[in-house]
Amino acid sequence: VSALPLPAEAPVTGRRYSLVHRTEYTYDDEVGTSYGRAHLIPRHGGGQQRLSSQVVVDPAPDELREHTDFFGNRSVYFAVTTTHTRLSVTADSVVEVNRPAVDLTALGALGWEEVRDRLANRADLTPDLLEARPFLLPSPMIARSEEVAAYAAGIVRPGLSLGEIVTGLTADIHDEFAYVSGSTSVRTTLAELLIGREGVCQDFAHLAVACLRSAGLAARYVSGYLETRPPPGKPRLQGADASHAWASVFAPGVGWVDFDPTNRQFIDDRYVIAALGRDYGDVPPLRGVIYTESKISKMRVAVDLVPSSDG
Amino acid sequence: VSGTRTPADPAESGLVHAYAARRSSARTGPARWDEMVGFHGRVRRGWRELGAVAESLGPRGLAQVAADAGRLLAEDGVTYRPLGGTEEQTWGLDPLPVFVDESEWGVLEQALAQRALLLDRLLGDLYGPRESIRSGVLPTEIVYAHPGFLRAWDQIPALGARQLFLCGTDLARGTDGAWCVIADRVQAPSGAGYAMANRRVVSRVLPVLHRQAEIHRLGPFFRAMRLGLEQVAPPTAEAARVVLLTPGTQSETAFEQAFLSSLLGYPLVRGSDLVVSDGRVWQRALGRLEPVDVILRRVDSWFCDPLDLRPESQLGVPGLIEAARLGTVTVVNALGSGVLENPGLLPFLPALAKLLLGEPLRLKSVPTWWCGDEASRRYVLEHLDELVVKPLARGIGSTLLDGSELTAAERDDLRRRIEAEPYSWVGQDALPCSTAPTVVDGDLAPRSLVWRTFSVASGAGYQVMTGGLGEVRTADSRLTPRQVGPTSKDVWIRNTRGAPLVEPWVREATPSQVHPLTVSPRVTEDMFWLGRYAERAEDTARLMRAVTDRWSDFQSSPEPAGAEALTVLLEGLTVVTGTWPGFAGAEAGGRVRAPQGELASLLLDEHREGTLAYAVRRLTEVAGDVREQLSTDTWMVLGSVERALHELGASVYGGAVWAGPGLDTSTALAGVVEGMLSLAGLTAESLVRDTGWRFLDLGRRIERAQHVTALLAATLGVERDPETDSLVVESVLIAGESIITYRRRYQARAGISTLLDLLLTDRENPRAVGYQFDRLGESLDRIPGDGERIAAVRNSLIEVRARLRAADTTELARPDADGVRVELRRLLTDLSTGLVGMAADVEKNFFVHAAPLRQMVGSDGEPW
Repeated sequence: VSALPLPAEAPVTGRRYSLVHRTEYTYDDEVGTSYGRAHLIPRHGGGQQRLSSQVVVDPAPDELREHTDFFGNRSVYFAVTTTHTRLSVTADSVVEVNRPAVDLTALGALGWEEVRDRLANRADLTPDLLEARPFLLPSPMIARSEEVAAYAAGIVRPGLSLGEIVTGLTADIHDEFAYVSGSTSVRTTLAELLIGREGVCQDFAHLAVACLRSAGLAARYVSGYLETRPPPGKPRLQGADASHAWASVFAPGVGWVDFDPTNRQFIDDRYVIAALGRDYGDVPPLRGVIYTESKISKMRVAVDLVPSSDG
Repeated sequence: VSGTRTPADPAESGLVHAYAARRSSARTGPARWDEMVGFHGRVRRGWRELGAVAESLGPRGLAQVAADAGRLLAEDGVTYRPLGGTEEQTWGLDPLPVFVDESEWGVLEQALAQRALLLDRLLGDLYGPRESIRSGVLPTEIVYAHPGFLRAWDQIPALGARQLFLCGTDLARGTDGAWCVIADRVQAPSGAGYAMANRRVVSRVLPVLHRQAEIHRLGPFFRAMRLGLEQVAPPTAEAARVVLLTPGTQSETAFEQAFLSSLLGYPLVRGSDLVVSDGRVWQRALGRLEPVDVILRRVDSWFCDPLDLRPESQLGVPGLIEAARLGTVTVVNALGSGVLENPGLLPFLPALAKLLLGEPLRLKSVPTWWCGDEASRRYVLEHLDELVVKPLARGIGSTLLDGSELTAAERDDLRRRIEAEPYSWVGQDALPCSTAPTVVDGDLAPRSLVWRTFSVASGAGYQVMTGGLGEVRTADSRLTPRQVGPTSKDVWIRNTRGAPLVEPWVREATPSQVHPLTVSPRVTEDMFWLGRYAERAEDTARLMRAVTDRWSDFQSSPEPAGAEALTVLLEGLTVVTGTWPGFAGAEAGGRVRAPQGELASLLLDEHREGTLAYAVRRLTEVAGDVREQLSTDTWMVLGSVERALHELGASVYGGAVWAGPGLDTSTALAGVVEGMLSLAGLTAESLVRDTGWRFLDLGRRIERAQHVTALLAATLGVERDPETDSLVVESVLIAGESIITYRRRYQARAGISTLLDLLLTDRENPRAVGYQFDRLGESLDRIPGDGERIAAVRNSLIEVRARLRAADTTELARPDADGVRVELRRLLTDLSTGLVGMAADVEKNFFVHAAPLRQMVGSDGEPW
């Protein structure tokens, strides 16, 4: 693999982060009860260690519980029955990140067709293949689409290595699509994205996953965080970070390789993985239902991913 | 009806012979099995009694039996709502049962129980270790690409011995004569209740045949179901509190859900009646919460929990999956069971039976090719013109396609869809299923038969219903989607070995096991309105009858006093029913002189509030919402009332416009009054005095007191000449159903004050306001729950009661110098205000409506 579009600087390694993700809802009328589900606790393992984590809900919830979900994510359930017009959910974690570097040589040696064929061979019951196969399938927000297949065909060309496919996909999405906050919604389809050529990180992650799946490769959606750095000479602004999303592809013998089309790079130790799934719908940071007459609500999100002092 | 026990072969002559002859002559293609007639044209052994009965009934008799069955179903309110339809229809039933031989049944019963057990194990595996996939027996896509595979349900174990509680299996008999499975119904299978409803009707229209044919009963299945529901409760529950979760009255099978609720004795609840709190599910009751241990659901899984499944669902309970994960509630069938309604599984069941049960599969499925497998796909694509092609999952927009009925272009399109996503499709043999004789216009016609059987987890294994729901289709030979509503059949399984015809179901429960039925606030509210609308319909009908009679009298002998009285009564009608302007006000003159149009509207316009038809319509709707609370006779009564109005409507609006006194409203009004009396009788004599009944009675009493108060205020507020007042008083007494008592009791002292004695202050006359107050007090005393909320209502009652008791009817009847009965008016206004306040207090204090359920969303309306 020769033309990886990696950033000029070397990947960052070995970091300890303090991560605070705070969401606040305000309503124009009283809410009697809120039931919520959050994927805000970072995953443990896979190049990162969760040293501590805590979710605080205000008003105090009657119930606050967590379990490991189908995809191995930590999933938090809460119920607030105190009447409220404001609800905040704050996740506070300390995570140590130390990812092994992506094995570019191995990725470069794997032909994508070979990967496709191994996944398609149902007789091959190797556990990691079995685990990856479900991610070949379309999912609720990433439906099969001829437009995506046509777009992918320009990148996933015969004879290329898996490394080249990922590289090409990352570069093309990064170069051909503009990051425009608010340009899309959960209802925007990939076909619409391909026409509009602008979106946010979730869209680019979805598109990358969709392209890989249309080629018969296993791909999943990853939600998480990326450390941002203030411009030189400027102080870091509180709450300036945001939740982020990228894609991950399965490489037999290598494992899952995460890459970030929004920033045109493989993920490194500046990234913290929150949760993964088939698409955004499996792992929204926070969703819920409320009993209320209120018709207008405001949501405010503040994320701080800060290198920890003792990190 | 034949009473012969060993009839001769009836195929010798007549109907059955003709049926057999038609069967053999119509044979084209593969020989199809007929349930009644063998290939040699002879009636099969088990069918001879039925053949003899059909013979002896003849065409006219058969048609009559079929019509009787239809009438009984209509009278019992056995309905269903066709998919996408807005109106409920009477359930379709062919009166001739399908007989199943007992030796054949013996084999089938075990095979069905095995299939249920296999699906149970598979369900446990798919949401547990997934050994079936790991081992390579089951391809990944069949499970993971199916929308019924709920990732949120992963690793939630069953609390009882079984994952799968109730299993429906659709069978058809192939050309080889063997039954084979065409579909598994395991999401929330319907039909078991309809099977029972069918049996009740068939046993009434063919009583002799039913008595003499030795067949298995259906009762044991439902007792097994009750036992099974108790067995699946969380171990912490002392005695299981079970509820039946319904999507509501708009459901296709709303009738059946209410029917099962009554049959099993469990409350019928909607998602909004339940709440998750403290890690468990509760049912809302009046002012408190009652724990729920087991939910027998009829809501499709995707709608059951808006938090973890479809967020827009208003039919579910947020947090339900969380409670299930904590093991505090059992939901049957498990929310994840939809993945088993999956034709892709069929080719793999033999291998799965070996893997999961260690035994061969006993019951064949319809030959099925899963297109995810390359060889199978090739076969399907090569045989598109003869196979039925189905997607893995039933869903909106995806139907099954009969390859033989597609055009070349449609077939090409289907081919492309299969090739784009092969694992999502299967091809199936278009099974030419067997036929069964069905009554069509008094003749026997062969109709394709599908038999839905039911297995329920109970005791150590599965109990299979000894019967089931037959469905006969007009589609001639192939398993294609039905074009018209189904006609069902009862299925009779022979039982000549003398198993007990009655199984004991009476068993003593220890006191701690008995829970009083919890009534949801929604139900109490509906019962309250049921009482109000029933009373309103009766009162309106009686008043209209009194007024139209007066109008008829005036038409035949037009006297001045009659005209004056009529004006008073017509205006009173408008005021009491709240249908202004009508006969009241300055512009009313024309309508008073020619009242036909307005009277017809007051009778028949079901969309105008205050009319009789409106009250009847709302009554029927509210009754439908709480049908599980009511006697089945209710539907016969409401049906006759609606018919009476409908017939009048047809004669008024269908032909000449209201033709003066010649046109008779009395039949229709008598029909309504009669119906409402029957309904009052049913509620008085057939309903237990539970909380629901108390609210029904509250509603009825408040409504009646309001009506009498309003009627008196509208007609007696001023003094008129004695001739006019005589006519008015008489009509008021007739409308108040008190004329006979009045004449007997007050012969010598006829007048306003004695009328007020009888209709206002009397505590013994069931039509008097005073009497209503006493009954209201009684019902309030018996409503359970905290005293505070009742106290508000009771205080209002105490006030109006005191006000009424202090009244002197002689004083009230006395007009002032201007002829106005000031005291009476004042009293009636106070009573009316008090009653309105009381009704408002009942609504405010007892019928608390939860705020709407919404999604938590970002400020732009999207959770992005």
